[in-house]
Amino acid sequence: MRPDGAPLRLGIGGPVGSGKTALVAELCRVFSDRVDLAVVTNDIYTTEDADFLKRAGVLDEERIVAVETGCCPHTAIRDDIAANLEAIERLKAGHPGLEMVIVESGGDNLTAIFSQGLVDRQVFVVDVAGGDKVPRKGGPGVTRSDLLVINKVDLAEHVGADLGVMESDARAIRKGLPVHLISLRTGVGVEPVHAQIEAWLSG
Amino acid sequence: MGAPALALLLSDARFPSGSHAHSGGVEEACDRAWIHDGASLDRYLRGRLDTTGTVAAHLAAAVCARLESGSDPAWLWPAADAEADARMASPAARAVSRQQGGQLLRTAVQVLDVGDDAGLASLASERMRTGQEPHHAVVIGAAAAQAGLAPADAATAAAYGLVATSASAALRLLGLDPGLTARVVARLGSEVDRISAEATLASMCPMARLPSMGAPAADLLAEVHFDRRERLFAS
Repeated sequence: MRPDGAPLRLGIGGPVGSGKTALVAELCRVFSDRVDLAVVTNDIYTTEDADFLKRAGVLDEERIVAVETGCCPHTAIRDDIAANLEAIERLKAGHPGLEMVIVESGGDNLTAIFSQGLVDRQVFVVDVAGGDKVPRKGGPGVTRSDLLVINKVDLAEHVGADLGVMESDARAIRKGLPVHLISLRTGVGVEPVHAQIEAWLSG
Repeated sequence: MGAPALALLLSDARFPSGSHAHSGGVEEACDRAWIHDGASLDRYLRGRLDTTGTVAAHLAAAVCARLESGSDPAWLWPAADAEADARMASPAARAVSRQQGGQLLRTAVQVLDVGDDAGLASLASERMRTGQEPHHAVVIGAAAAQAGLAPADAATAAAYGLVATSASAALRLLGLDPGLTARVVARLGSEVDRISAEATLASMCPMARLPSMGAPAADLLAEVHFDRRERLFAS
């Protein structure tokens, strides 16, 4: 539990197909046995990601809530967060001991970023298969998120992506904010991500 | 005098009260090709304005006028809630109205200076007491009064909000020309103003006498939409 007793609100954002839902599922698997947690999804069509998480069986169904985003997922996490705040309030009311709420954004573009009114910390997920230019292109999620995850490093050789370029571009553009290269499929590099979230959970 | 700045803020589609995720039935109407261009959007919105839009505008103006004339909130909130509830035949439409009302109340409390008097603060207490979110039109009226606005501003915010939210949803769903969509909204401006003027005149009539037109097709769309698992908009 964090010092103020309020749950950690953790945003997971990033482009379509980069592995946001896979990361959420992974965090549920790693933390759900010792951290009281719940998830809010913001998919294009309401229940796609929520259904995936329910099927994955990583969390009880009543701990996964989907909100509608009106064809505009980044609006729901940045410009007008009312529906997400309501969903978090509902989860807190139903689970008074809640320690972490993961808010997953809908698959969006590089200009998306979570409002500070909605989350305490945010992770931005991009992937190697999206091309090694992505970190250099920047955007608020890439440059300002508390943690940048570059996923699918196992695909680098197949898609001709240069991991060294991606990492150095990301570090340069983020001016010291952390960057982790991982593969959620193989498990490579995920421990530092867990450790970072562990640190946020304790304040 | 032009519209006060706070009236513009309350009516702005960017006011962060969750309305961007509502289409006012437009998502279902687009799926059925009832709305497919500017002309069909115009017809749909005129229908909504003449029915549910008129009802919402009158309720908002009535609530605002009563707060300004010092009505007892212990009477006003249950009375306004019952009148709003009775004017929505579709349970789905009622649920959506309460969802939007709750989100607007949360935002308005954050945005406006709220004392501990009869305004938004007492509506928030009423929500705690009943465990139920207030209806959207009721909160619009309460927020307008809290902002020091007139019943006419509350009515305009309700009617214009319906048009602007629905038009913006149609733009996103169909990829309409934004200039054309704005033109549809502009041409409905005189209707919004007429409804607002009528709602202002009627704002102190007994609430049971306020208009109670329904829109059966919109109610049916709301019911179908509510039961859909996969949807882009909350309404």
